[in-house]
Amino acid sequence: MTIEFKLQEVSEGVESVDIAEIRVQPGDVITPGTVVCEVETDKAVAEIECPHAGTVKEVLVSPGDTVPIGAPLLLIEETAAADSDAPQEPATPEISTADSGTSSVSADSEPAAAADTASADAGTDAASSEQSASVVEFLLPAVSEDVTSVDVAEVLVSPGDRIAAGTVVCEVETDKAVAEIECPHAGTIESVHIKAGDHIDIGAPLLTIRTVPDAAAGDPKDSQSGSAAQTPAVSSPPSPAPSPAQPVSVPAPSPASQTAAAPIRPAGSGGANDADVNTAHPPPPAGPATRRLARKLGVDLRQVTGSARGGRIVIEDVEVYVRSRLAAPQGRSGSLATGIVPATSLPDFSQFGPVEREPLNKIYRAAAVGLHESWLTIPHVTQHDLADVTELETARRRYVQANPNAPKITMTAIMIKAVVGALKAFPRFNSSLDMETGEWVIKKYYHIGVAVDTPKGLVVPVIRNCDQKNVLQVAAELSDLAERARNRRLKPSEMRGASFTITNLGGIGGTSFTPIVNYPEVAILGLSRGQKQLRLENGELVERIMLPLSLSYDHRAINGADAARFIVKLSGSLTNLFELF
Amino acid sequence: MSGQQHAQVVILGGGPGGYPAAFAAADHGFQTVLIDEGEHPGGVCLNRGCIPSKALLHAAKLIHEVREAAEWGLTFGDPQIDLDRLRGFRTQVVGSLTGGIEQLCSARGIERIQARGTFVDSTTLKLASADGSTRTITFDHGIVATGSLPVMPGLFDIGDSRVMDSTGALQLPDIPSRLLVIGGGYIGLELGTVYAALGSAVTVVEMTDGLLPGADRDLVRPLQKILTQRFTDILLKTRVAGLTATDSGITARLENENGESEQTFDRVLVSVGRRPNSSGFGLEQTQVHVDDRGFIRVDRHQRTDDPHLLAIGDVAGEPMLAHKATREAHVAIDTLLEEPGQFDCRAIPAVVFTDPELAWCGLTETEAKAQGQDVVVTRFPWAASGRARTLARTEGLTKLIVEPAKQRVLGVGIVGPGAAEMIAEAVLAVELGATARDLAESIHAHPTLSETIMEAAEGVFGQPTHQYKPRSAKRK
Ligand SMILES: Cc1cc2nc3c(=O)[nH]c(=O)nc-3n(C[C@H](O)[C@H](O)[C@H](O)COP(=O)(O)OP(=O)(O)OC[C@H]3O[C@@H](n4cnc5c(N)ncnc54)[C@H](O)[C@@H]3O)c2cc1C
Repeated sequence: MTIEFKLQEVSEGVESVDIAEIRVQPGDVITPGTVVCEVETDKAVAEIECPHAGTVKEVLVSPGDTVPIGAPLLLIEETAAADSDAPQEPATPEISTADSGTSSVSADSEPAAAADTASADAGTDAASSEQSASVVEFLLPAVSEDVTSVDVAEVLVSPGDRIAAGTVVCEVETDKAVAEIECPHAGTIESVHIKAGDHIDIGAPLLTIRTVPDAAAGDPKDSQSGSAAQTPAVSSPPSPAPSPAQPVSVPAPSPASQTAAAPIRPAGSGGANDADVNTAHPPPPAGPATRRLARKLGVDLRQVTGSARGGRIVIEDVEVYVRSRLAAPQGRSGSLATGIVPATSLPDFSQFGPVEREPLNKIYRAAAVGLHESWLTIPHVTQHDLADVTELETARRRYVQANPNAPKITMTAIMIKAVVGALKAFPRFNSSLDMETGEWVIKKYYHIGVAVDTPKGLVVPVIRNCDQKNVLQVAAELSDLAERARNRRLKPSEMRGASFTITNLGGIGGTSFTPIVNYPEVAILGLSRGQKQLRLENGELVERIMLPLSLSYDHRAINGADAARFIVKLSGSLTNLFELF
Repeated sequence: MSGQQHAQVVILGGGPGGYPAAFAAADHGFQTVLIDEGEHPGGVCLNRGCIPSKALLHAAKLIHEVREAAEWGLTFGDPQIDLDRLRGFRTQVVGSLTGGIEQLCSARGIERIQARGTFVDSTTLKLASADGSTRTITFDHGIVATGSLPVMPGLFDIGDSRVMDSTGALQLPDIPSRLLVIGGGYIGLELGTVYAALGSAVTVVEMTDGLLPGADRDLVRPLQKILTQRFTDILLKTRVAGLTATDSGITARLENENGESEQTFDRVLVSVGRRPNSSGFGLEQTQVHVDDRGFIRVDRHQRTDDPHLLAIGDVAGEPMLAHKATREAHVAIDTLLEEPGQFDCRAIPAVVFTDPELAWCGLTETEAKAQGQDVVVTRFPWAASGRARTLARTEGLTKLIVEPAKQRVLGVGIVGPGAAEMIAEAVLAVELGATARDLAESIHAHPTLSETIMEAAEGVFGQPTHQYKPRSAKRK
């Protein structure tokens, strides 16, 4: 029998991936655990193992495709299993998830179900009930303001559980408190995507739920007056009992005849938020103005946690939700999830000459979002200096030559240590700006991000606690991280939490440049190529090696004089080696 | 046929759906034409519905209050009723309001056309004026707001002017000695109240087993008790099987469990409901879908199946109430503007302007039961309200229907004098998703009837200040 192998969860919060490489082709015989493809997320490459044994019948994706978690990858002719008569796929249409998220309808459970439904009638029943039920992804709602990610403390449900709307499904910890997460959907849990200890972002999928079929699934307005929760009827009907308005079942009207002169869509074509009245459970507690804003921004209010008394959702909650969704790097939309709306659309370049289009990969897209946000948020200033590294460079070379087996000490590794010294002297450079409270958030840790140029784009691995490591340890870690970055084997956790970033273009060239701060950090140091220069020293012309430093900083957090002091301290420590160690 | 006119927005029907739609359209810069065949704008509501009925009910209330005052030592004597002047008061109220709408139309640059419109196609109306002339108008967007009409079953349509519908009854042709009201809905009870106060012996016949279908029974009870005193008879589960005109009056054949009987009345008011006005003006020439009850199918943006046409008000669905029509008017203009408006109201107040008044909004207890929804219901009887005592009206009741987990207010029902005004707070509470505590901890002025809402809310999680109910140990 044929089974469909679907893309499993790759890592927390990742909802879609780019297919990087496919390792199998039709006809290949695979065993459980065979790596069938490699996928790219914003941060890393992951190998996808297939748990099934059999012959690959068809490959359903190709390199470059962007596919959501849950998307079918392969059709596999399972050799081991006993042959089943009917291919269940056409008979049981795939359940479409609400938002192309993780619905792993287990391929193995299907045949049993298909075999059970021997009678045609039973089959129809199953199919129709399947239509009225729907599968929803329950995503982690905003827990409280400022919180963009949480740790899962306890998961209180498991697959197969039936839950009512409002059931507490898990407990999460933020840095401030433990919060109970209520699920607004009623139904049966199909799968649980989290476990205790997971670190997840707001908006990450928690559960896949098969919802209880709604009683009224007709036209919203009709079911509204039918269920009459909102519409008391005061007419005195001419004929017998005042039976509530019969919900009229409504075939979707065809929009075919829509003409250009008509900006309005016909009835029944429903908007995204139309769902809100059309459900069995009470509507989200929000007033008309809040609901209107939510519609305007396309926010599903059931995903928003209310902060007002009794959990009421106010306008600010919608704003916080939108902000947290924008901040979360995993854009949910399958399209170019950069969130960047260009001011004007592009001209048709082909009128000027031939062009070719090349898609941005995940790394470029993620970088685009981050850089754009930084550029919009931070008033950038760049302070330049030349550090005299003549002695340092000599010492470095000598050490490297004398210790071929030791970790290679690079200028970047030394710079990390030098920067930590400067950060300790000027703690505001090791901070983030909290504009909501009007505070510097001064970090008591020294995690230095290092920009690494890879064939797939720029990634920034982070070396933690650099103040507690000597330059050899830093150098060792740096070369490991850089190596793995180039092979795209970094874990997302290895790219989080930097408090300051260094970017070194010295290996390539250039005299100076203007790096963009890695928001929400407040400063970044750029290194260009060291150059031999003639300098006057005590009236004598000497040759020195000068290293160009370019310090970009957030002028809101740091004033110009402090930036000059920082760079003077930094370049001084590179010259006067004893300050370094 | 004289020329052809074009407008960006044409609104057919000038009732509380149509005229606010015209205002909003014009305010947003649409070149707008408002078409109504009536002499004055305002539709049923202003000309022969809400407004004239409330003017007369105000008079009725005064008559009752004057009688009640005798009990506390104020005697005014029997009222002298000058029907001409009472009609004049009603006409003047209606005239000032419809005149106001005319003024507001011209101030906003809205062209008002008095003509009957018939659709030729989705973007063309043929307009027939009273003088027999016709012309056509084309438009980009049409809004159908043609309202509803009283139902007059053939059985009762015996071609005798003593058998009236609500429009006829509001004319106040005379004060019949004996009035039969067929239908115990709000229009029948309101107009029955007017005639009873003016001196008619009123008999209400209702086919179902209760007055005001749709309202919770505990709210209807205090009203029914008072109406039983003011009306001659309230016959439930009774059917009027036929009407016969005779010289001495209209003889009605009444059928119920006890068999058949005949009674003769001077006049008969048929108030058995209203039907959407969706036929006879060419809707079939458009793509609008009309359901089997006669309502135009719309979505929550008031869009019909025809991309050029929106529909609002009574013709676009239940409940057939003026304020629902007006809200839909604003949604319709939002839709034209592609603004995120939507008819997503959770609480459409229903008000019966009898004495006492009855009002409710959101979920009723009856609906909650029918849907198997778990709710907490608290009732605060007005006997415990200081303000009700000062009014010598303690029959009232305020009840809250609350969702148990978060104690969110899902519905409110009120019976008692002033309920119509009080329901506004309840609508706001339901619409905003307020909790019982929100209501209980908002200060309500003392002494007012609105305190009963606060106290009913206190009952959800504690004891109302002015009521003590020993509770079972079971606590949520
Ligand atoms: C006695 C009575 C009391 C009521 N009391 C209340 C109350 O207290 N509160 C409340 O909320 N509601 C009340 N209502 C209901 C309320 O009047 C209606 O809900 C409201 O008027 C509906 O507004 P609308 O704009 O949909 O249509 P309508 O008010 O019915 O207006 C429709 C207009 O369209 C015109 N029209 C229709 N077809 C055409 C055509 N082809 N060409 C040109 N013109 C056309 C009609 O002449 C009419 O003027 C009452 C109704 C009655 C009868």
